[in-house]
Amino acid sequence: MSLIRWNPSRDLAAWSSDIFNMQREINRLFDTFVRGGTQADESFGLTYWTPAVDIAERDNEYVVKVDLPGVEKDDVKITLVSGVLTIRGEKKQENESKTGSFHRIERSYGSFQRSFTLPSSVRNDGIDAVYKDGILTITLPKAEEAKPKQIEVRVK
Amino acid sequence: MLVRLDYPQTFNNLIENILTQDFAPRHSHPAIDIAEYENESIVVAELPGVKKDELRITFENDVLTVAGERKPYEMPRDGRVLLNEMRLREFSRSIEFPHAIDGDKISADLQNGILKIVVPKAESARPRTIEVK
Repeated sequence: MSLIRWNPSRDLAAWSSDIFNMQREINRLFDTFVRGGTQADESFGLTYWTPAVDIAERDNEYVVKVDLPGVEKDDVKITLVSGVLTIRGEKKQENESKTGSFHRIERSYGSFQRSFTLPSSVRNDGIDAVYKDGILTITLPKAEEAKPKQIEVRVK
Repeated sequence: MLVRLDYPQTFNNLIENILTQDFAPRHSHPAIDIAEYENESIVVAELPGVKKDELRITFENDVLTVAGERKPYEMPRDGRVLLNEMRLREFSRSIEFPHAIDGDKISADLQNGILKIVVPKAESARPRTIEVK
């Protein structure tokens, strides 16, 4: 039987790397929740982020605004299927920015998708989307039956 | 006196607090990337909906500061808010570089909500090749 010299630092190294892994995972978890899932989730080999959305309702329409800085117009897809509005797309990292040495990366890249159920029905033909200054604005006119109606009641 | 610290419970409470909060994305300050190249550093900031004249970029005492204010969406009189996640209103970010900067040659460009600032290194901070005689 060969004798193996006990090396306390080896045990310590193995143990501390576990701790560091755990710490990293916890940090990642916190980032995901605290920062609203904007951190790229690289442990699954995919990146995803969540753009901020504002939705307003008017008498005749819904206005949906999405923060999409640096996203190409052609990389955004908007669909409306049985009252569910889905905005999906991808933010690509600029090629030039891959060659530098980074001091800080806070921006998120990769795919995104957000879906919303609109409270009332929407006219399919009048939907309009404009991308300007990094904000996507979608206007969805309400269907006739969803608009507020004023009914006059004659009091006898 | 011995106090038993209930770590799992504390941790669970913490997670629960985070989960039950409205964990919509909060973008109260703009995200930035900073990359260093041979002759310059490039700062890229995400500023969706910010107009050129709502931005102030200053360089003072070797610190670059990007500040400004995004005007909130003007709600029409018949409008009601259903969801509000866009938090970017007033913002200010300052960056100090690990190398000397040629402050006069800093340039900035705003396009599609992306602000790109090119910060050239001072002559003394650029890499140079020394020839062996």
